[in-house]
Amino acid sequence: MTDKIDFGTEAWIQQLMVELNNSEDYAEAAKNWEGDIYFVVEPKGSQLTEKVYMYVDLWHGKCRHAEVPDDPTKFKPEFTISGTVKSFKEVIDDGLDPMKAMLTRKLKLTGNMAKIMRNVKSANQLVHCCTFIPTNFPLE
Amino acid sequence: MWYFRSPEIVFGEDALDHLDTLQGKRAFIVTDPMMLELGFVDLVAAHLTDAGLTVGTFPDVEPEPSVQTIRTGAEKMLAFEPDWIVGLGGGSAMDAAKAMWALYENPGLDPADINPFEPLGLRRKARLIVIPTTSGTGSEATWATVLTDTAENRKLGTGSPEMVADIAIVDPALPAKMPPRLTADTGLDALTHAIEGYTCSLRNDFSDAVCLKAAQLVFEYLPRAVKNGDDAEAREKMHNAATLAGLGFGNAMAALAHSMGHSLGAIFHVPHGRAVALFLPYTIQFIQRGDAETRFHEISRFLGLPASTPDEGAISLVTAIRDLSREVGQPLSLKETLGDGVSRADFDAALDALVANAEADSVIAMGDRIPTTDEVRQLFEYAYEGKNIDF
Repeated sequence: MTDKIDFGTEAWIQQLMVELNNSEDYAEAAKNWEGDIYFVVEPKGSQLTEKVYMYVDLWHGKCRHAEVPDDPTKFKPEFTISGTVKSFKEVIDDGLDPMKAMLTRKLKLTGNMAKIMRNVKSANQLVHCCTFIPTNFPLE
Repeated sequence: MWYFRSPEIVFGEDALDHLDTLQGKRAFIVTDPMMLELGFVDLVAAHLTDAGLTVGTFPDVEPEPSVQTIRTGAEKMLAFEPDWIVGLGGGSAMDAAKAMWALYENPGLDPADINPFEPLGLRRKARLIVIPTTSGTGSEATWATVLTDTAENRKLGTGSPEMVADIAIVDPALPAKMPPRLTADTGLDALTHAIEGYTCSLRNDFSDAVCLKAAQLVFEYLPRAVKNGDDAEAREKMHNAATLAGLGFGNAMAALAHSMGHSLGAIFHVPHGRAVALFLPYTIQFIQRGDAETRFHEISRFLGLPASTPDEGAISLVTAIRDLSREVGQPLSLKETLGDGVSRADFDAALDALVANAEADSVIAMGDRIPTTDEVRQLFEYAYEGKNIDF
């Protein structure tokens, strides 16, 4: 049985990088994507004591870098996607459509919205890769 | 959690009379030159004047309205300072009214930055009434707006949940003068909304109900409305069907046929309804051949078509759509749609752009099977030749 990886940790974001770089579907869907992202995990309703910032640098279907920085000002990514652990779990684990999560503001997106709207296929595949990671979500 | 958003819908004979009861000071009509010519602008303005409002008009919305037109209209709106905005016409005029409204409330906003994820803060200055004069676009019931980015030669499909109109006036007298070809184009647009709304990833119980009813009405009444424009019952039912389908896909989403249709429309200027309906049978076949559970057979069952299995139901639906399209004089292949003026070489030369535009359309990811780039290309090629999808 595979050990689960805690969501919001360096190990989790590194595993996401592996999954993205192993995925032909992601490579195909995101072949035109250029942009880095912060996943900002809010502590509300979880065992986290503070916000966690998970960084991924996505470039033409590959993940060039992933990190949970000690200092969130280390990166100034083009996009941020923020939400509680519960909201991320609903999308990654429970099949909530990412578009629906954003439309209902469960996940809040900042950045160039027009660019996101032109790249929904790659966003869906990014979420799909997250589902491959056996994840422990640190809910209360 | 999800939402079902709808304007207050005033429908049926003499629905325009509702305008007499409006309370406000200044109304700004966003429309197109044809509405002026048909006398519809004067008709609506007379009702608004009866209600005690001062009326201004922007009659310059072109088909597939450009971002520049939106900016120009919004500037005129800012000068006029309306507390009611009235979108009068087909989808282009209503979509333009929505986008101008967003800029009127947010001067300096780039239309490309309108999105469903961030608040626009509408209704601080004005509210929106939409009055469809065609039966198909559904824009009167949705928060979407489709603009044309002439610089990039592509459609810009966007919107905000705040952009659902306050009031939709669905008066069957207005589409009664539509010529048969426009009746067919717009009616099949409504059918595409109904079917994609029922089968897209954001479908829900509320949108399902209106999608099914809309599809049933289109199959029953569109041939009558095309054959005899004076058939008042058919006109009224088709007008209602279009708004129901708008409510359906507006509260769910459109899907692959729309992404391909938008792309085709931007490059070859095929009317929207004709374009999306052309692709619909092909995209149903493509989705049905995927691994996901589909729901086309449920639509077929509701329509009384053979549907003992999902595959049989999907085939029945494709056949019924093609029969309907043929009955109302619509093309079944892209080659037929483009006609002699566009050669195979012209099509091949545009194929990269057709594929890229379709892939950049957010609804491409809203179906039960999301195509790869190669599959989008194949879909266009098969549709061009009129070949059934076998991949």
